[in-house]
Amino acid sequence: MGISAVLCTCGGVLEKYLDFDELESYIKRNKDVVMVRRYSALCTQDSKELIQDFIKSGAKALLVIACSKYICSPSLEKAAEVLGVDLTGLVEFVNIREQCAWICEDRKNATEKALLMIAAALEKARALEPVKKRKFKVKEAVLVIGGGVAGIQASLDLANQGFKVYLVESSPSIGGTAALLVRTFPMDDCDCAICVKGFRMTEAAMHPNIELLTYCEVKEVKRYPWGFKVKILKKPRYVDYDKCIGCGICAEKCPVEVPNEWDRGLSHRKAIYLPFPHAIPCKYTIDPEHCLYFTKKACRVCEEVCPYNAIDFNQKPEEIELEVGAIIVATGSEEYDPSALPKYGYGKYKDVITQLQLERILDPSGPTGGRLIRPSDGKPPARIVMVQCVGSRDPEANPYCSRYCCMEAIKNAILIKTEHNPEAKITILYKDIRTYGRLEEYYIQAKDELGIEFVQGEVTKVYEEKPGYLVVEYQDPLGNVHSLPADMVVLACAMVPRKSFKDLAKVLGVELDEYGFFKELDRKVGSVETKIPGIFICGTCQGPKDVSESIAQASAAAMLAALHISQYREKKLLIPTLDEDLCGRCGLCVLSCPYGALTLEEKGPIVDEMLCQGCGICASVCPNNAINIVNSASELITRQIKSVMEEAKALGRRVIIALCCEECAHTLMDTVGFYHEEYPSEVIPIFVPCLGILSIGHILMALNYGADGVLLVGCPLDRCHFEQGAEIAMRRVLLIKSILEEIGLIPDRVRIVNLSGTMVEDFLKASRELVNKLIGR
Amino acid sequence: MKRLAIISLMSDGGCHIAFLELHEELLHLLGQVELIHSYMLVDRREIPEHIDIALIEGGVRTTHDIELLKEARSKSKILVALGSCACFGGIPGLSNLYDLRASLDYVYRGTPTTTEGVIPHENVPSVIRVAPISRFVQVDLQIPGCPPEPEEIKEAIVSLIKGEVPSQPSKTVCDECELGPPKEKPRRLRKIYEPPEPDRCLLEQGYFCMGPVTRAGCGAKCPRIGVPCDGCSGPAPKALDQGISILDALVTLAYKNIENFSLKQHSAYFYRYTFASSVIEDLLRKKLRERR
Repeated sequence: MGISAVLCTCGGVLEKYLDFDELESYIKRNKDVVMVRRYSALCTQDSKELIQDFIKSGAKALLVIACSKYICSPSLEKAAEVLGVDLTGLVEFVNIREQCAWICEDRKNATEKALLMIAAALEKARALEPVKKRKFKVKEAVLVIGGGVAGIQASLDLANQGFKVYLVESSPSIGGTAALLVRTFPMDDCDCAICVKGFRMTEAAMHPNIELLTYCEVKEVKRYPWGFKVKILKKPRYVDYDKCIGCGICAEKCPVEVPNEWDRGLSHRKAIYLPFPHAIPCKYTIDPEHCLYFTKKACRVCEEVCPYNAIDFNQKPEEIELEVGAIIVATGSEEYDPSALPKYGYGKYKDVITQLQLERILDPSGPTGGRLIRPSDGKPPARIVMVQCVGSRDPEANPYCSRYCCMEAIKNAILIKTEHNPEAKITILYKDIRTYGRLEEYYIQAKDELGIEFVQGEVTKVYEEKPGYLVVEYQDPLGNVHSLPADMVVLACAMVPRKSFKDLAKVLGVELDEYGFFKELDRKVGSVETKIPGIFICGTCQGPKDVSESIAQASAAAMLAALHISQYREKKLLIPTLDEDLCGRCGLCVLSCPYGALTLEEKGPIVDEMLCQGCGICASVCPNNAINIVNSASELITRQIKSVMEEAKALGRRVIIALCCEECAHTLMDTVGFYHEEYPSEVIPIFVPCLGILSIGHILMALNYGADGVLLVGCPLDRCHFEQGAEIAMRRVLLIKSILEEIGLIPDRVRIVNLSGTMVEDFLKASRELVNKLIGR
Repeated sequence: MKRLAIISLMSDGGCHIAFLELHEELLHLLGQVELIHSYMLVDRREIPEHIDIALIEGGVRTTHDIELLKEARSKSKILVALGSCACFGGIPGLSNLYDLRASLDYVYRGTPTTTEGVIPHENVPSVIRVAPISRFVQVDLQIPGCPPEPEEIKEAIVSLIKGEVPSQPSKTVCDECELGPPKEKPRRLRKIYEPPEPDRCLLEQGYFCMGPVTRAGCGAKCPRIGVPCDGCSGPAPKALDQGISILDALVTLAYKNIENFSLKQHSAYFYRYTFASSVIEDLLRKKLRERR
């Protein structure tokens, strides 16, 4: 029993800011304290001595009153490890430097604030219990969602390192959008997309470490510390995967013709089909929406003609369960549908096509066999107008730049000029040309060597003068309207997120950005990570990019995924414990757990210690205080608030209780200190694992004990480290505010701010405003 | 023989009746204890001296109640709060949501059937905010309920006679409820007049059931017959505040339905019996003190 309290003066520097003698004498007055000692450098040479002193003192808990715990705890942990003491859960830190000395008005205020912070910490130290740890290995397998250029690259990078990869693709073939491109830039001698890609598609299909799951969809993902349990729905092809050799006799005989989505509607496929000739796997699929057997219970010709008896109309959807350590999302993107903007005439005039359709026309394996002819009458177009930024950089559609379309238009224009029709008159109608980096070479080549015309302007209307004669009307930057005659108009459409992203994001528990692309952890320093450790993103599902960028990002995602799955991890079991005598088995905790970590058994909830993240939302909803997070019990938090308020009363100080989460808010409180930004010393922080642990009672009790106000500081709503904690706290605060208002108390006495660790200005503003309003300073 | 007294404050006598509902068991009990004061059973006006066990029925509403209560305390060895009015202030506690003066004005002068009403002020004690008895005297045991369970009253008395601490329920109504725990979050909130499905948790069905946040001991009588628990036994034994407990839970289960929660409109759900002893009441009292 007992607490050993140690103070660090930071090489004596802090003595200038704080009266250490007074702090020591206050601590000594506490009956549970068995040792108080002052050190000057806990972060370095003193740490070993401290642990030795702690062992000698026989104390149960250690109270470290020093600087940021992020600075001093590593050396303490190391020293404890060397000396063979397990201090997990038994150390409480008070940061009297960043959270006190460096931000207070003067020495007296700083000392008194430190005293109140120590009061809360002593209360906690008294209750500390050892915390168990579990060591575990992350599952050495990765799920890659999406078999496009990015997904294939990531899969191969991982498989070549020896990791098991499950590559899931929702369509019947891997390849993605890039497989439909005739060429990709930069264009060298032989860069036909399908050759470059085809090589890797085959490699992925043949790789012993890659399990290809085509025509499959991810249905459910459950998170565990060791990784993810994934449920995959395998859609029925109605063709036996093993028997089919891809001979195509079935498709020859199939009577049903359907617009071919892989040729973007420029050709037809059958109801039993291979998406494109070089599809991998080379296995046919029946499209039940159009197959006569499924629509009219007739036909079954394919069944008759298949030499290998591969047709199986009785196939049912299958569910596959996988366990993986990491997930890479590489689901690609879609081309914007320009028929939403009628001025371009897409959908109205056959010869208004998109760049992707042009890619198909130019592709030797495409609908025209690679001949440049226009869809309406099959004549080669002599005058081609390419329109840029269709659906991009357009407030009516998508405000962002799609990045790849300038280059795609220039590439296709060059291809037409050099390989199809050198006499073609090509005009590129642009808003701004963005051929960044070395791609500028192609722009210069197109403009200066090949005579491709670049005209700046915005399309106002595309219309047909008479059948086959299109006119593009546009406005130049000076506001003058001009007309361009055209045989064919090619629209460079925005890259947009797929509609399926919403559901997938929900299943994965990751976020989408404001446009609907998968959101990265940080746009600057975490572009392939998501807010969920172990889930990575790459390729155009994260935002517009070209093939080479997608490949580079895919390799980066593979690298981080490999790192993620090849480590041993240790989990501190900061999880709830149950008092069976109090539990009424009402099940509220089970329903409230954001991780599904609780199940209701005979004597109450049982916690899955690997699933549980220790947010404490269960404790906050427990009506009888039966379930509590170890070292963060609800009653303990109330006692901490109480003891701060009692001490404040003795000192005659007014207090704003700042209830801070241990994630973003703790970092933020330290960051504010690093900047030496002063804020009122009335603000006393008390730390909890997540704001979700706080009940309405905690906040109202703080006011009852005499706090002038309560400030909750937590993670931004979309970045809460515990899924819903910040959101739940926000709801509670809104309720409290309406209650306070109704009973005629100032609702502003309670405030919540959701800030990340660097939002110093917002915190300063909030705390100053609160003190100004409630205390008047 | 131990001397037992039942003393009534602001009350409708229901808890007294609950005691009488022991029927023939009452005869056994009266063999072990001498009932020396009870306005229903004993002809005696003053509170007698030397009470061993005093059962206090009703909460505090007037200065007279305070006087009686203090006298009872000074004359008793053990003082028991009987029923939810004595324990928490009870249903009358909801009036604390309104200004006392305005309430009196309404009751004596503002009701539709009153003409030229007068607020009584001569020879009557002053009306004060409704309070549980524990606000004025030390309470040794609480037997909540509206009314309390006769069996619990008997067992408490029998234990106290023997000098033992009565055993009391430590769990919540859900523990005694046969409908079982909710398996999913309620999809919508149902009105009380909508007929419930049998054998399914009422909270899960969307009824406003206070079972999870209410002290056990009643045998979950109401939910058993499809009536949502209204929380008459007060907060769970280790809870801070009954109304706050259910709000804390609903924030995660059915936030949309309580988003526009208003104390005055909805306290009859959350705080039907316990508003006068709630944390919010504490805040209100604090505010009134500060104003003075």
